[in-house]
Amino acid sequence: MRMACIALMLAATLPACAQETTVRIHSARPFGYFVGDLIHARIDVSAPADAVLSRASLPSPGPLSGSLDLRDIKLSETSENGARLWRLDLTYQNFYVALDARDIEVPGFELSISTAIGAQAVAVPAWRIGVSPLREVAPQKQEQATDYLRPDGSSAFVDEATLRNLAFGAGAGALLALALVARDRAWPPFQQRQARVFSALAREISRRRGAGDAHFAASIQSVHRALDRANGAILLSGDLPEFLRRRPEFEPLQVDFERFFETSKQLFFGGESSKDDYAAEQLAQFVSRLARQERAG
Amino acid sequence: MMAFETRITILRNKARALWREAKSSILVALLLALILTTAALLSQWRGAVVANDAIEAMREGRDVAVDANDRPETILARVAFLAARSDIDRARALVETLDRSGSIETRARGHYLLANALLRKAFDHVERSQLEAANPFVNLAKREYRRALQLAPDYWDAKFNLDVAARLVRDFPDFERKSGDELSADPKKLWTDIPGKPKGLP
Repeated sequence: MRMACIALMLAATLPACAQETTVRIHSARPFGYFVGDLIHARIDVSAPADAVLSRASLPSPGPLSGSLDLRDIKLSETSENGARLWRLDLTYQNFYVALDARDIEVPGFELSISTAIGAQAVAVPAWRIGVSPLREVAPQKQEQATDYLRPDGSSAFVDEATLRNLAFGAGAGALLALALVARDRAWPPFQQRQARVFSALAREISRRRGAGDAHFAASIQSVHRALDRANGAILLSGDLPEFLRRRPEFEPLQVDFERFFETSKQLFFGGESSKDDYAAEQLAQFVSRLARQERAG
Repeated sequence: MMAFETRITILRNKARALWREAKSSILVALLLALILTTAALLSQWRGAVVANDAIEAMREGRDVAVDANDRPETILARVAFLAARSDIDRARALVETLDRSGSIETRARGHYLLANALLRKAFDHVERSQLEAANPFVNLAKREYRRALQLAPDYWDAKFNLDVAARLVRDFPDFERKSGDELSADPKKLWTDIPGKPKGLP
């Protein structure tokens, strides 16, 4: 609301405590309101610095009369030049159906404040606003009575284009995420990815175990081939420190590496043909750990 | 100064290591979240298409059953359907349902449609010179227009039709009242009348 256009102003100076308590009503526009229009008003009440306003005495929102509602009331409190200033922002709604432009009264109310000299009632006086008619007094004659009314209008549809676009967008995002996950875990068609040798191996071994043809020696050999690929050359147990230096992400698995080379040596050169489930399980765990470290690398 | 920079570098390396560790899990979580979002959006889209089919049917004059769990737009379309056929009681029940679930605009439009139906009924009585019977319908219509305007103060069609209704039956407020706080809008304090069959002056 523009303070500049103070078109309507009432200053009520109470004689009881001279020049101490004043009430000013500012209205942005005191004329030209149609039925249903909102009327904004600002009421400034200034009082001595020690005054306290009773909140209970503020008017409460609701219908004030058959043709006027109080919709909203906001109170802000400031101090100015040693005086207390209460600013009331009031929103009324006009329901007076005018046949011609005329003034209607906005009812006043009383605020109670308490000061050092006792409780005191401050009257905010009634003020007037101009309401205007919306139609001619004698509109053109219509065929039917209902032609005087504005029509019902047609029903609005639900906005389905936005929902569809959002759904397709999220679906495309999900496909992209699926591709990223597949690439990260060397799922087909990324199973040949050089940086994910062990992920592909882990999947192959778990598939073989699931299918029941767990040939332990073959599994060991395929782990050897995968290690060779990761190393770029054949990896023997003697090359392990050099390999771990180059691929530090596998450092935490050094013990597992050593155990693997030991098992491999016993199997192929020690003449020991123990292929129990325990060893197969350990091998699978080793490979899945390798795959995890590889993804973290 | 150097210590600070070293600390920054250490922190950055730590963050990088953490990111490398968590990257795989984050990707999987992202995938799952996107799949769930897509499923939810697809079902919402499907619901919107069904709702629009129902609205289209009612616009074409075919009745479709709705219940309180339907979208506000569907309920509103059925209010329009019933209001256009002067089925005021069922329209009012649906407007009350809208009051519980709909947006401000939807609710305002529901009250407006109901008020139009009431006012058309009043016109119907007036044309058959049943002025006494028309009176309550006009007052109910005025109340519904007022409700619509309280919800949406810029609803110009509602303003216009309230004007029409108010000229049919004028309110004469008691101008005696002075103090704002004690005022009430008790309908008994208003007296209303019908000036007679409108001769081009509804």
